[in-house]
Amino acid sequence: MPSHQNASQLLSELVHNIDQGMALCDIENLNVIEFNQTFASWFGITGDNPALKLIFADDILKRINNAITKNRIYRFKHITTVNRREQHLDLNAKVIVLANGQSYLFIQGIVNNNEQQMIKMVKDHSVFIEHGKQLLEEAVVKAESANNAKSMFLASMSHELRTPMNGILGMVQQLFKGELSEEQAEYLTTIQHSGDQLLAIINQVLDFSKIEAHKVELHPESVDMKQVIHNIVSLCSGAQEDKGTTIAAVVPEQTLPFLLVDDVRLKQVLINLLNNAIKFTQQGEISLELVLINTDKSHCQLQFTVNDTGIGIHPDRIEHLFEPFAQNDASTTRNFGGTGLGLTISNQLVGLMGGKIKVESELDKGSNFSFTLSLPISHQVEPEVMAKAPELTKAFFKNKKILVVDDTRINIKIMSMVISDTEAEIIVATNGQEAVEAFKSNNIDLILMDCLMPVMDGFEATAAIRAIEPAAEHTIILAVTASASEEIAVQCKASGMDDIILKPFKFDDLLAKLQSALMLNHQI
Amino acid sequence: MAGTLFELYGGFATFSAVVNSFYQKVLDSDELAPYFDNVNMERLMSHQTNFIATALGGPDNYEGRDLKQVHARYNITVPHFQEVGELLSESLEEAGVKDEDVATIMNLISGLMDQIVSSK
Repeated sequence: MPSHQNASQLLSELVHNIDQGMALCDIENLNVIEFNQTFASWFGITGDNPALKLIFADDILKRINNAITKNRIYRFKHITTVNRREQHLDLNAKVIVLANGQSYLFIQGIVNNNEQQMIKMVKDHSVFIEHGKQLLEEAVVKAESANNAKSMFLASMSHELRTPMNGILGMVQQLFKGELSEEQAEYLTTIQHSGDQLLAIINQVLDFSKIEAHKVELHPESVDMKQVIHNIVSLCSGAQEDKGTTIAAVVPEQTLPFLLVDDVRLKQVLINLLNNAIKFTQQGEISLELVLINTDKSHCQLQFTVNDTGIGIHPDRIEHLFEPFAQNDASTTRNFGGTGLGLTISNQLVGLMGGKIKVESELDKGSNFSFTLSLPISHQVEPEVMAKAPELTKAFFKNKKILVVDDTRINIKIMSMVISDTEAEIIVATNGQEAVEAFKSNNIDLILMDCLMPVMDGFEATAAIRAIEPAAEHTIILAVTASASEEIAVQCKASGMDDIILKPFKFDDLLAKLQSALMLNHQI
Repeated sequence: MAGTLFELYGGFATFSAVVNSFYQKVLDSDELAPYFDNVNMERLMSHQTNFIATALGGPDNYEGRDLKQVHARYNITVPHFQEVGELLSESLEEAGVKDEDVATIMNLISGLMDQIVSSK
């Protein structure tokens, strides 16, 4: 047991050593009477009885005085520097009455850096988040540009591929005109079929990249839906002549109103589904079925279904069916061919039209692909009937001058082949500038204009020709391009071209287009 | 809301800190503390913050009941009301609110005296 004196000395040491700072002040003049070491170290007190007003600012002193008068606790914060380190203090001041009956001001406090640590933590955290956000943004930009690059690559590749395809398919068509042995005819037919197939694949890839880049727009027309279904079935029936399958068109009995739909895209989807059914069905029945689900004043709800009795699809594969380049399984490509893009494109197109393709299938029993569209009823009573293409008459081309503008020798050769069958005169230019010169010095009836050429491109040349021709003598200018993009089409129209011919083309199609253009020009 | 006193001094962040320090002062007062025995201080503080926000032109989230009805049973006296006002003005000053704006706010508060005080 320590003696009483020892105990009080120990207590006094204890008071000096606790982390809490404390000071006893005179209530009148606010001079510090007693203080422990901790308090002294906070405020650098060396002498005796320092005045509080040397330690705290005026507004604090004012509130301390307030607390004395009103007899309440005043809590406040104070920042001080101890050993060159900033310390945040939580302090309070209140009046106490000691055993001697006297009132004193008692100030006590502790170091509390929690708030500062918290603030620092939040700051660090936000720096960390900001950094993560930056990384994420960079990654998104990278991914987007990679995806754009992919779409650009696909689009330009398919464009580049169409040009040589024009050469191949053009030459084949020209060869067919000559005397052929049976064997040669067979070889040529094979080349042509392969070429057509390759072209179809190129078109699919192009379509896919356009849809991916959100560049596909729908162009709704007024159509007779039952007629569309019959047309598609008769078109596809040709593809399975020698197989043991039949294709049926099933349409509702009642008359349907004319409906607004992009029939080109709808046909693309239905033909794709029907061709798939044909491809995977060896025997049995295939049908394209149109069901009227509902109709009101403004819309018709129609369900389109393609049924087959083919090999079916394994349940595990169905969910992956619409992913690009994913076929039923990898061996499908080897056995059945195709890009694996057909269903992806079809589904995306149906999506654009506001539907979704549903698949039901059972292995070795067959599959059915269906989708429902709600199509607006057309207020046009009759759909626009396309003017029937006039019978091809070579005499019509007599004495006509056709200017062929292209920088590729093969293209000029092929177009010349087509036109040389008629009695028209062909004038050739290998760039836009030559074309403008040729236009000035000849009485040109029609121009076939390539778009992208060195020296002066087709758009510029067209604009130049439009500027110099007399207003009353509009010369038909047809763009000949391998690019099927909307932008090119818009650019063609903007520069003053009348229509677009897509490479590669069928000879008869080109002739028909030339003839109707010339007839139109004649009427003007 | 820009240009309101509420926005000027930093919105909820500032005024919830003010309310916090204000209630600490209130509970530190021997005379005022008994009013708050058995009161859910967290809820009261959130009410008070929303009340001040609304009063100073901030967002109107105050869902408390009618002031008179709430305070009636406490028999609050004028000196106590004034004491509370002083503590609030001290908290506002400490938060860096300018004297003239403190005066505006206190003016607003003293307008509520009739609804809060119910004893002599």
